[in-house]
Amino acid sequence: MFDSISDDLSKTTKIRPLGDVLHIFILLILSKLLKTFALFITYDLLKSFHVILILFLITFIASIFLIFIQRPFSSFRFNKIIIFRLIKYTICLTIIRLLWLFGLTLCGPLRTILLFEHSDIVILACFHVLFSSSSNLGQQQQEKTSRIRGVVFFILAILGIFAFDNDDARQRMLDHPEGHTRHRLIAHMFYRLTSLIGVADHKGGVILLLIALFMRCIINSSNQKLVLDVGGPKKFYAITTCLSTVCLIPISFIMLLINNLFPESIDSVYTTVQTTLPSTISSSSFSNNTMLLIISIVFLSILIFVSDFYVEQVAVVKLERLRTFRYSTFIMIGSAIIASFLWTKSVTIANDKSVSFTKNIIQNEFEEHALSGGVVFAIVMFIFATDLLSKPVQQRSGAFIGYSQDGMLVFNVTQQKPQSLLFIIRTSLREILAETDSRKIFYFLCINLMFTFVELLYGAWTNSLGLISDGFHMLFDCTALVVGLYAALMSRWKPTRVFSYGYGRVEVLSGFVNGLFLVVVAFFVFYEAIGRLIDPPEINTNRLLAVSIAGFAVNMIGIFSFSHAHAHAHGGGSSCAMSQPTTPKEQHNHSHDEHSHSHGGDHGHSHASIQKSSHSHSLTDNANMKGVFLHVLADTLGSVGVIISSLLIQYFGWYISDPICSLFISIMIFLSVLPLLKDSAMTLLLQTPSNIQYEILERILKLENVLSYSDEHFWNLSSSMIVGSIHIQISNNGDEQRVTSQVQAILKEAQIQNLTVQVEKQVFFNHLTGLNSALGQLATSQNFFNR
Amino acid sequence: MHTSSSVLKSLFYLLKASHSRSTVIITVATLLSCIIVFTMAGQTNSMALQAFCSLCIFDLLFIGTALLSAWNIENRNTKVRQKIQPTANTSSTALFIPTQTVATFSYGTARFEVLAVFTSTMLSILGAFFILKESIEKFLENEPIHIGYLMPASLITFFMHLIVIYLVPNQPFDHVIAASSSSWLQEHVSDMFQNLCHYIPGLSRLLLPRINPLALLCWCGLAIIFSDSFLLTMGYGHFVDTLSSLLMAFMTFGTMVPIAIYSGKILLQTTPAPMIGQLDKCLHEASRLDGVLEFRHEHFWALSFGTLVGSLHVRCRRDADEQLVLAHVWNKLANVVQILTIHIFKDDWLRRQTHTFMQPQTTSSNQNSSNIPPSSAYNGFVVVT
Repeated sequence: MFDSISDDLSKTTKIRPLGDVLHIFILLILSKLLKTFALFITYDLLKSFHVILILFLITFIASIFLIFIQRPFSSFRFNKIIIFRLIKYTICLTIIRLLWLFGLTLCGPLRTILLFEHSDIVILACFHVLFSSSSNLGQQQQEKTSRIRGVVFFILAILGIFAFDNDDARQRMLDHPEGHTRHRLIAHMFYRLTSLIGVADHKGGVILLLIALFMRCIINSSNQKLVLDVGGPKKFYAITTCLSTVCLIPISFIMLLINNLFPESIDSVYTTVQTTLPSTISSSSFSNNTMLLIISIVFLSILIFVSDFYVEQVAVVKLERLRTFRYSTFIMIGSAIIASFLWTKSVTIANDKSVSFTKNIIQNEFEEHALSGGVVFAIVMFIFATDLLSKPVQQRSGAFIGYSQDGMLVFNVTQQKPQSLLFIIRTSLREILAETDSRKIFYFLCINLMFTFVELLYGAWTNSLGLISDGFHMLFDCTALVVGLYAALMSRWKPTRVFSYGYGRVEVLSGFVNGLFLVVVAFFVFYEAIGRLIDPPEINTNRLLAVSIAGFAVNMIGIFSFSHAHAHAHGGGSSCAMSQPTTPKEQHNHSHDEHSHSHGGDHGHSHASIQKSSHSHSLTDNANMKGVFLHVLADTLGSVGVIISSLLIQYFGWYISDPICSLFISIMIFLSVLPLLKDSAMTLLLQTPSNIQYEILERILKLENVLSYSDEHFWNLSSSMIVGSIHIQISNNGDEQRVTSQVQAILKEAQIQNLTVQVEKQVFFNHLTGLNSALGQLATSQNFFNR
Repeated sequence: MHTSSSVLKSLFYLLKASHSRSTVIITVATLLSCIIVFTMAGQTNSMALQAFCSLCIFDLLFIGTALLSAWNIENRNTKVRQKIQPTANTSSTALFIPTQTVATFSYGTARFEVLAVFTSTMLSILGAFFILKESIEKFLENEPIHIGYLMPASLITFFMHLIVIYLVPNQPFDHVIAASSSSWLQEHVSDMFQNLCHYIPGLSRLLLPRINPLALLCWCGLAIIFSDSFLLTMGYGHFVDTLSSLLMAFMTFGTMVPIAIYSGKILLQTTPAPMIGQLDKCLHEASRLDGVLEFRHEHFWALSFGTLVGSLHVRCRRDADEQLVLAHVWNKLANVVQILTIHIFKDDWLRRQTHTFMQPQTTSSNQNSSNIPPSSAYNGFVVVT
């Protein structure tokens, strides 16, 4: 589907100058103007007749015309598959047209034109931008930007019609739907549906029109081959119109039988036609309303279904596809605005003329579907969106490389093959479950999400805002888990050209980000608490207790699983760092366990843990897991705070306890996150690990032939890996390789895995001066030799 | 503690220095306006205003980064001075030369700037995220909004932000803004301006240059607040406020994410994308030098903005002169990589020793025969022992 749209947009046919095709252009404008006019009349007709009946009559007459013009069945080869597909297409088409007309009755002609008269190209371009993430090459970046803006404008326009168009008249009509007695059956169902969703009447119409628009796009783009099979778009159109007439026959007869509508409606037909065509009515006095109805329907069917289609086909051939659709949309929108002005004016004139017997209907008409701020906004936005989305693109999928052996052009197609979503999910799940850390986070994330959704659903069910907002809060917290999970996954990726050390550092960075996240949370909780401390609000503690206890239980699961990992990591760390005394670490670990057991209520303990952890640089710990753990801990603290404060409020009525609790919690979160922040920041800042002492370097100096060392850099890459580089100056009779291996052996003892040793002699500097190389960065080591 | 006191001392030094006095005034003003604006935002109960006022907090972080960078420059200068006169040991560097271990930050303090930029952008991203969630919650709670404070608070924020961005010299942020990929907001605005310049070419000098994304964020935020307050007075209710706060949050995301990605990539020890081509060229040239067999473990990463650190293992032929190979490879790479370490290794160097042991006639290398004078090309050097 997307291929076709990009084909359409990138087709670089020669654009003819406007002068050559001016007659076709004028024809296009005329047909579009007439179509707009016809739509307005149809709207009036629809007030008094049933949707299905009108549609049946219009398509019937149109198909008669089309049969005479096109003779579609003269050279038609009957093929079972094609007929089956045609029938499928026809049914979809009929449903779309029904939806469209029904939307017209609900929204009025102006909004219908705004929403429905977009070409498929625009809609497909929207989808293309929204759902295809193909990385465009640099030159097309700007095209893409304007596309995205177009989509945003389109969505804003729909939003403008949907939300900011206060069409109050419809609301009143809904209470007394006299005008809609004709569509009793469908309308009744529809009203039920809209009231179930909880949207207003005309909003329901907007939704219907959008559904119809999208369906039209889908069936048009998926049936392009069918059109060719049948033999050209004109023939295809004629056949489908005839078939849809056949489809509509049974339904409309059933409708006729049920509603028995004809005799009632004569009166209203008379009035509506009078309102729309006041001048013709006044000049020629038609007494036969049925005759008038038939004439107007013939008129409409020609305008809407026949002439418009033919003119469009001609214009597509002669002008250009994009240009045709672009201009036709603009013309439709413009003429719709003008027509709606004129229409309201003519209604007022008619109002003056025939106050006596059509007052009710006319006043309704006058008020409903007038221009509002939202509609004006939407019009502007739609014009922008159409302009941006239907701009031709010079899109080439690959860069030209050269010629193949056969002399064909060879392009470098950089877009990688899109994988199916299921495959991606399966592989990533397997990756997640492969290791304990990510598995733990994943399971806890699942539990958390389940709890959240249960909370949200229950909140929506019982209509409790507190529950819903707490659910959102939980969802917010889940993002920290997602960050942790992604980092745990990413840290296992293989090194690449850019990430030459591998992705191990991602875990440190994610730990840091999670720490920052907690700082933000603490800050906002503090801010809110200060605000509430001044003016403590009344809190409804009804149900709050149960929810917070449930949340507490869920978080306790997380704490137990993660604190195990935490302790485990500590154990591993202490075996790694030999020189470090192990006691403070164990205490640190222990105090964390205390933390989780004592439900964070004890302040002394939390302080103690902070002091200790800041002393024992536990860089060997996994920062990512620590960040996740701290986040869960903070959540637990939060639910504990809620439990305490709600108990206090329930039994003592101390409303001030809530802000005080949150103050304490925010301070505790902040203090508990500080060591994590400090550790990970120090790792990111390439701090020298504490177990690299001078004595190690002293041992290097004591080696044979080693004169001095310089530029010694040692840093933690991630929690478990130390990287080092050092320059060593040796005397002229030393052997480089021997010194290198000795230095490597010494530094391997200090757990430095990734080592680079540069051995320099005096010769080296002489060479460099001979090569005229810059010696700036070697100042220290050169100083040594010059001394 | 000793470290905190020395930090305080260096801060005090900053306050004393003449060039940062205006910065200090601006800092105090920002702090004041931050407090004022946030109390106002709390009064109005409007999330959009809160989202806009979080720019003030970003300003504080921005100033903090600027101060850090100034401190870093000062630090570097004193270090250079210290190198010249090793006895001078000022208090501002005392923090970084502890007695027990090797220098705590062996690469110096340049990376602090990167971390500061990353932290401030990340904090504002997370703040925007928090505001996103808060605004949804507020939408559900449906409390009335007072429009009275909306305009003054947003105007204060606006002017404060512009003053901070244009008057506080901030090298790291300038660099990042210039080097990082442009945000979606910037792209859209530049695209729109380009379209506009098609019609009015005279504006091209004014509109076409790249706009500072932080200033752009401020302008767009002000426009959103204006329309928000307008629609609120028209009586459109909460929906508008939630919508505009969401929009503000997304704009903040869009502006901050490229900066955060750029600085985060530096923190992740990666090769900066623009350097890759140049590095590859140098490596290619170096690999064709005489005696070089292959490169292994090529690690090149950015230490801070504009400083590249590299380490490289070179396998060279068994009979090659290591110092010569080292000098040549060094010469090729040293122009691109500022801090370079090259590790030269040979296969089976022990076996080679026995080999030369058995055939002492072959052209000698320096290691096991100190009596033989070095080759005649290096006459002029003094052996230091």
